[in-house]
Amino acid sequence: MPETGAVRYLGVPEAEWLRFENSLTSGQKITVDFDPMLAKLVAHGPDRDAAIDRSITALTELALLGVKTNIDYLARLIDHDAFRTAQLHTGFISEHKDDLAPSVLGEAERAQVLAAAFLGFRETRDLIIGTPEPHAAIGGWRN
Amino acid sequence: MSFQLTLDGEEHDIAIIRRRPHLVLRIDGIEHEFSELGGPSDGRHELKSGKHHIDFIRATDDERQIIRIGARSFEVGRIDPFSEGLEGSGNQDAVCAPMPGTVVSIQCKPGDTVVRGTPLVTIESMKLQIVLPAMREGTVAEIRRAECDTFEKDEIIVVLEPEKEKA
Repeated sequence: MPETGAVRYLGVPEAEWLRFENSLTSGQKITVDFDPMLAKLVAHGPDRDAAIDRSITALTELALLGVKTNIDYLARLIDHDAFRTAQLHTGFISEHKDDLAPSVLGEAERAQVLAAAFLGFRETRDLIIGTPEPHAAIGGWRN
Repeated sequence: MSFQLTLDGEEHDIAIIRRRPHLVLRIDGIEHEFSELGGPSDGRHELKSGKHHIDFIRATDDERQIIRIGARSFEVGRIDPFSEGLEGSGNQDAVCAPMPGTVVSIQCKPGDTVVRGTPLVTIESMKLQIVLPAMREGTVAEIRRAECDTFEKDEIIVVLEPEKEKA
């Protein structure tokens, strides 16, 4: 479902076979007045498979953070065998719903996400970086 | 010190175990050592944990961190122990620590009826023991610390049931 938010980070891949059609800028607020289609990613290839592979590369390298998008969903969708072999119909999405769901997050991956976030929150980051020696090396001692 | 983060609707515990020579975090009970932390700002960074190089992108939005790793984006929130669950209620619902310290003993349990002044928790701080009393009449709803737990200044130790609205 479309959602509002703001463009907190925008990283667009570049390639001669790629065009990203948009007027998004970093910091821009996505309000209810926006069309749900925020941008278009257009990839060219010598044949269908190459075009699909390039599109998947572009979608996975595209980073649009701050508003929920269907970017990762689209990458899974066009990678599906039925899409690659052009078995397309209006019931495609409901027929392949289970295949198109995101994979379950592994424990190691989850720890990486949590660690990266932990290092970003100012309060917790300050605790890690701001603690002087010798307290930093001691560990969990109370004052 | 441990912290609670939220991811996909679930809570996760993170504690800082060590900072030098490398940062060691205990995440949901398992220790992870990081030799490279990346920068604090929004943008592309790299984490190094053991042999793993983890490229990620960070964006900060209000109170959450948006992290993109491995072509997937995640929203991580942080549970603030100083204000969790108390939006809109009066400050008499929560018994807060006046300074950092340790819980010595707990003199109440959830469901107890208390009056103004009833001793709830004895804490120790800087070699000084004090008793934290109920600020008003009410019923104990939740006790957020156990004996020997530590806490920071202003952290909530005991919560009373919200007062019924006066007609």
